Amino acid sequence: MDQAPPFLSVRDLKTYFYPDEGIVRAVDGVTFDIRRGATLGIVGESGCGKSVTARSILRIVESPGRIVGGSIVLRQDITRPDPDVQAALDGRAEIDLTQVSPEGREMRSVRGAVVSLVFQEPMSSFSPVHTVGNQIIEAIRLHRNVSKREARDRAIELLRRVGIPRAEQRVDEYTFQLSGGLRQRAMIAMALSCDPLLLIADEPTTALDVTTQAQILDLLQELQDQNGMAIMLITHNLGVIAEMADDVAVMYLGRVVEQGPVDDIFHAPKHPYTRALLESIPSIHSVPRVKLPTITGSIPHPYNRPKGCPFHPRCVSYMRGVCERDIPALSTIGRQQVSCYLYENTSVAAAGE
Amino acid sequence: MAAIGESSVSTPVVDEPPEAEDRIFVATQWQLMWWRFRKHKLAIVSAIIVGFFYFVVLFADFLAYADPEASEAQRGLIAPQGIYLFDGSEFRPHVYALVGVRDPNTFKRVYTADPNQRLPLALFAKGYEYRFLGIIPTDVHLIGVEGRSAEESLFLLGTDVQGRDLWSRLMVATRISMTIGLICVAFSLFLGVLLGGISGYVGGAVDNVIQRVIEVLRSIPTIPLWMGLAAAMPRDWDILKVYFVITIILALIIWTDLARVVRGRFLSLREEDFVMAAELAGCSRARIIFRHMVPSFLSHIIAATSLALPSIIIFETSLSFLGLGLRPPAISWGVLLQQAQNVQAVAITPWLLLPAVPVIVVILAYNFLGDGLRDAADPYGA
Amino acid sequence: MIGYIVQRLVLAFFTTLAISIISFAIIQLPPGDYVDAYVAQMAASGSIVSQQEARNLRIQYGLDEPVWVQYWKWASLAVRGNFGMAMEYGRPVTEVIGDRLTLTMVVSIFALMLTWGIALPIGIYSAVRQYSLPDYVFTFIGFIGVAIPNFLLALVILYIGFAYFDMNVGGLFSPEYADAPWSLAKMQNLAEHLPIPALILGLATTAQAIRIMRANLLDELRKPYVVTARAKGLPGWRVVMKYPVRVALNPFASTIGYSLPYIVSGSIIVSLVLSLPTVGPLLLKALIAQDMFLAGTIVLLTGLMTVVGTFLSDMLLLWIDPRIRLENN
Repeated sequence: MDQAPPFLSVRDLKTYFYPDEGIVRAVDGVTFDIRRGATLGIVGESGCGKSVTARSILRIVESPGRIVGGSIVLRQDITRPDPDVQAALDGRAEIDLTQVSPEGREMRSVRGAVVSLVFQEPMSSFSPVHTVGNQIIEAIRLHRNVSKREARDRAIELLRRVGIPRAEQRVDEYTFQLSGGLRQRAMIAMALSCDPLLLIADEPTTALDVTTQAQILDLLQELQDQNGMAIMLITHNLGVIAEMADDVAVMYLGRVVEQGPVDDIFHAPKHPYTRALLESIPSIHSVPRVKLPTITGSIPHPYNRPKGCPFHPRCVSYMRGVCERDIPALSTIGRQQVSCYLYENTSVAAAGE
Repeated sequence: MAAIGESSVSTPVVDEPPEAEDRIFVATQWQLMWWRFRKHKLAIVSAIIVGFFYFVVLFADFLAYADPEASEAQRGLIAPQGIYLFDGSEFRPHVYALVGVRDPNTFKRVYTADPNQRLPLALFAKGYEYRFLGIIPTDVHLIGVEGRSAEESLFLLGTDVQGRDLWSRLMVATRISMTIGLICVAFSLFLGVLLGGISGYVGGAVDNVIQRVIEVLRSIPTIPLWMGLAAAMPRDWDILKVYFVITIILALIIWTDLARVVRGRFLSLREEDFVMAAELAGCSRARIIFRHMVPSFLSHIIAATSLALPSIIIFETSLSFLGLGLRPPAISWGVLLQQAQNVQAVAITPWLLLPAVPVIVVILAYNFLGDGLRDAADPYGA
Repeated sequence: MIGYIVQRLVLAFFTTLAISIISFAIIQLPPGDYVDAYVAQMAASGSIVSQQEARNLRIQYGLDEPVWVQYWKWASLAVRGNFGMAMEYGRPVTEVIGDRLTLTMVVSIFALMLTWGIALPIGIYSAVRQYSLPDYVFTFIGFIGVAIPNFLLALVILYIGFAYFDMNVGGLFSPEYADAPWSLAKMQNLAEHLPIPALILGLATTAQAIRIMRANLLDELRKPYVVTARAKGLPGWRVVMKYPVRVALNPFASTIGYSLPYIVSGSIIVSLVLSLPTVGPLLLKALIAQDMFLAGTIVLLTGLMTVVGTFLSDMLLLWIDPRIRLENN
């Protein structure tokens, strides 16, 4: 696997929300890297902090939330320099996105041009009163100095590239005139308009039927191969992860409990949560008439987080006196990293990296 | 549950949710509404103010001290008196007696305050006769002047052009102005819930027709209408009849707003899964409506009602102000304000504008109250 | 889109019908025969109405025939511009109303424009800077605006102008222009006098419009497409103005459409207090004098004006909202 140096590194990111009722630690110490051309799958239940992580990277976390710790470092790839990253860095070798103003020039040149976001609900993610073309053209002209004519041509070309038929007509239509699948493609077209290095896809297929899902995933893979862009795929669907991701990060209650290459995660899951997740997938091959395994309990109330390891109240391998003390440190086993007391003293380094 | 090759197996510990969350999960709808309502300090204050006004409605005659009908041209347009709390160093609320001296030029009595004649105020004094709550005959009032008739000595807010005490008339006016709203709302609530409910629940062509009717009604400018209708009422009808008819006229306009709210709620509720569940469980239509749907929108109706009341009060006040609504001898805020129509008169006797104060206060209070109720009723609001 | 226009036209027609019936009812309500009253009135002012004339009038208005015939006769005359005679003045109603109707329209439309002009920016600001001091101040003023009946406000302002500034803020013209023929100078004079009555008239509507804009915008600001816009790199205020404001404009516009009847209504009372030469004072006098043709016609024309205004604002909504334009269902 091509191990280019990561151009975006998230280290110990903490994003907390402060509503009247208390503190919600939506992202509580998350670490991962994004490399060009690779797909990182972020998987977890609803409420585990996946979307907030994505928004933190783009600094569009809504009040009462804000980033309270950690770093998001963007750096230029010297072998393949990108003009938009250059614009954002403005001469520096790297910048920490948590340290710049969310409304400032740096963030605005990152948004859309270096990192793009595709949402789950394409209907409500487009403005209902502007044409599709208008919104794509706007995205283009925000980052590129082109005329309206040129931008419009590029928009039509983009729509074609994502597989929308009769693109020249569609560009002047409104969102409600398109079907679900077409809308999501238009969303992707808009996200790609300025050749971003990273495309964050937040549950891109959840709102679509299964056939359309497959098409969209194929499209994403194809675009990635063509552009060499990185994809951060956020989903709770393990099947999609298995198909698309190169690396996987499993999140629970705001922390990454396990991460590693997709094969390792699926065939040799280490964290009890990962294991339980994989076991709960219904499969044609499972033994008939045996109850489907589930994870006992439910996600704790956000104001009521358990002490120590966040998963311990629901964990089958819970060790009394150990797990509720502190958050377990990251242990490295081969190419995987796990945050669990079961592996605390067993850091095994594989040969090489 | 299959555990894959683990050595130490212990039962997973599930934390108990602490008390606070428990209470929220088991609270009834009304409790939830009350808790949310409590957070609106402004709404609570407004509720108290509105309550106070209704207290005045009940105790109107008690709070008045002069017969609202007692007119005496000589006492016309007297300025408000001041109450002095201390007589020397003693706490003895009193007023100065007004002495009337006939002006030789105009032959009109001019009243001036005489500091040497101090009239102490008495609590629970005797005054004009009335029936408390309409049944109990009595003549006790909150304050009065010992030994003298209140009509001749007490003028807290001044008098109008016919020499009638404004304070007392204001108390009695409150009664009519506050209750006309209630009756009107009751009527329009009935019409609104009925037609709005049918419209929303039955849907289809019926809904379409009712909706169009509502739209037509809403497009008609109302005031010229009322003025016409009100003016067309015979002058010799007795007050109560006029009161009644005005109430109905107002209700015929207001019901459209309530109908829209009700219809909207019915429409969205119809799609709710819990309604379908009730149908599938075999509930009759009536039961579904009254047991399942109505509680969901009852709170919205309450909120809409309390926002409708202020407009009714404004309407009645405007109509009476013009002389087209209630007329003397009926007493309402609008009737009282009729005397302030002329700006020159107001410039000379500004206290005639005082009835505007309770109008503004009560409307503000109802608005804040209605807003608070509406916020409390909405389960998804911020 | 055509369907929408047709629907609005049909609605406008029915509203006009309803208004005409109500106006007719107003004309008919007072007891007594119109022609008798007319004859008596003319006699009182010294002119005699001959038997022939009286009989002709009876036929013209169908006074001996059933109600619906009378309505029909009145309506057919009205459509041709013949609204009958104003008894008290002895002149045709149209003459008496004169340019008062136009002035009513001018004041109402000015009030409406003022409402838009003030409410829109304040509403937007209040929503974007929620809970800031200006937001609280505007909300408070808004409440006051809704709470004070406009005629009271007019009274108070009139009083203040009179007592403290020795100024008469009433009326739409300075005395020298009041009866003068229309000229550029007169229009300028009108423009000078318009703001205060328009402000008073529009205050309640403005307050309500601010609340609506603020509430709708607050809702829209939380929606995903705003996040998309931000994620594209669009700077702060442009995000707000181009997207959520545009969407929130729709309910705002449709509400304002319905405030026209309210403003026209309100102008009647306010014009009484401020002595504006509009339709209001005339209507009141007519009603008190039971001059029913005058009164009924004023009600009819005012209503018509409102119907036209509402229809125009429906068309405006059509222009603003592409969803209505393109909806085929």
